[in-house]
Amino acid sequence: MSFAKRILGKANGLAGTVLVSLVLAVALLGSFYTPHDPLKSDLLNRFAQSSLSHPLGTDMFGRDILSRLMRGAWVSVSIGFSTLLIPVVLGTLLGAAAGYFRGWFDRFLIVVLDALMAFPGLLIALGLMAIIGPNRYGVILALSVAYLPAVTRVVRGSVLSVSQSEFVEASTTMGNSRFYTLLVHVLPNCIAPLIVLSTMMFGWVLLAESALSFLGLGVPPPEPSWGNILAEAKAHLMRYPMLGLLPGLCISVALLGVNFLGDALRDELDPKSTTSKEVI
Amino acid sequence: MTASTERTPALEVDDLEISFGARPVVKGVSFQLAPGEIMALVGESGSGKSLLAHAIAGILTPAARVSASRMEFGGVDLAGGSPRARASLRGREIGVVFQNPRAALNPSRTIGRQIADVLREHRGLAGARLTEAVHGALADVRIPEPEMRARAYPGELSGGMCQRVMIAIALAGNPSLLIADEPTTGLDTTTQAAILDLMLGHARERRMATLFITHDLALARAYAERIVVMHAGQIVEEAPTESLFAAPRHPYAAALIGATPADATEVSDLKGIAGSLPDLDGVVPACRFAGRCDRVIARCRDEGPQMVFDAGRHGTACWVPR
Repeated sequence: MSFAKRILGKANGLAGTVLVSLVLAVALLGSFYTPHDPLKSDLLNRFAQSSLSHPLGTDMFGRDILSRLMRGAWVSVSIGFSTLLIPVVLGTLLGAAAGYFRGWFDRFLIVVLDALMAFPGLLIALGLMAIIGPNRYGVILALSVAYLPAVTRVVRGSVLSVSQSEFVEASTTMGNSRFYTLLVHVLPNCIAPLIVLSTMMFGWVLLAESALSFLGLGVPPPEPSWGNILAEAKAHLMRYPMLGLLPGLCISVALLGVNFLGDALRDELDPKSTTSKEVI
Repeated sequence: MTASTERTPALEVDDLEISFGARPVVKGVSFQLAPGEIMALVGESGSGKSLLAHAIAGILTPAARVSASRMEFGGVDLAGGSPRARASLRGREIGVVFQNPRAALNPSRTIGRQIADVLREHRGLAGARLTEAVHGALADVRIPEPEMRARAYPGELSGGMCQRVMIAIALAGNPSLLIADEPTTGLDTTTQAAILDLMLGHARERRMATLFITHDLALARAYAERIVVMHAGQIVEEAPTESLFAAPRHPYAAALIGATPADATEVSDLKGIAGSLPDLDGVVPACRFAGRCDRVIARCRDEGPQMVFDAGRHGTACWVPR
């Protein structure tokens, strides 16, 4: 059975895949099409109930909520992916170098990472945002720094353990260079935990971006992100709870999907849980 | 067989010592291996057989220190020598077959690709010729349906199949020295024979010098021309196979042979060897077998016996050989 089939065969894998695909599809659509301009206010039509032209109603400036959520999905998801990319690439490089070549670089890196990990990720991001100022590249940078230690440690750990395998030793006896061995024999066997971590991290980043925007340190308004839509709804929450419920629901659904998918991937990729499938 | 004295040895090891910290684990090991010769290295677990093999293959952990007055293979110094010169031997001139074939193969690469890696590197093949060579290599080690098996991952093959793949990889560079470190441990007896016939058949055919490490004396007897007996990091006896089994001289060699079940032995007839390997952290007697030996004399503890060879190239390191 193929890998995709095994993931979809599980309840959490199926649910996760469906939810994540839904979120990604809405985000992609929101990047180029929204029913209304998500930034255009219509002060005569504030807090409108749902109608044919505004299926989810309008907010305190009369902006179409559906359009804002769709564009917000794109903003949040694109920030999520960009933020994933930097720590994964950089963390893999650093972790592989430290775990494979060891020595002073490894010791130095571990001290720095331990120091960084002593702070909660969001706190580091908050501090950095306060320096950089609220804009979307600041969010990406700040969250990248916050999640770099986690990736580096995971990669370093797997590289360390895979490096001890006999097939790495065997690669040496075949006359391969250390670098080739790292690239061909060590790193590909470290990908599984990295995939699981990335999936989980996508969820954390989505949440952290919302948290930063909610605190006014994320994506600056009027550009919508799920976090700042929620933040703006704060003042009107008692009279118009839907304003806060809708973006909250979006964040929850996305997180739920990502977590389901992450769990399913972990179950499938964890070497301890895979059953041997001999064909001969 | 004794004619091998006249040939230049493929592998020459003289006074090899492998130590961890201040402890010399393998000590004073000397032997020669002629081209085309199959030599078995026997001894109980922990006697330093694998360390020796790893030292020759150049894959000891960095914690181990190797010194030898001479350790040469095809003119390249394996103990000193430049790392580059030594690395150029691996795969091309020295092939290694490991103990645990499943662990020695990369689980995330198909076996076809792993064989292709070696063929590309050492024979410079590419494209359709490479694919053909991979299938040929798999067929050479008698893997049925090579075209299909080439796409399998190690986890999808049995241990015996994995070992065949490992042998194909070791042979791919057409080495002149083959090191087989307990190649059939963990395989069932029938597979064992098939694997050894296959591997050593190739070794004979291509006239490779072969160092066959095993703790199974019966296998050593069946396949090797010469046998080296190791105990606690020292060579205690080295002899042509028949000569060793006919008249073992070192008490340890004799005890090992006595502990091997022959055709019609009752379990009660098997004699164990008393004691265990000496603790290398403590005071180690000069002859490391002294503590377990029934022929021990005072001299054994103070002065290590040297290997003495007779005319039949049967050598033993014992003060009171039989």
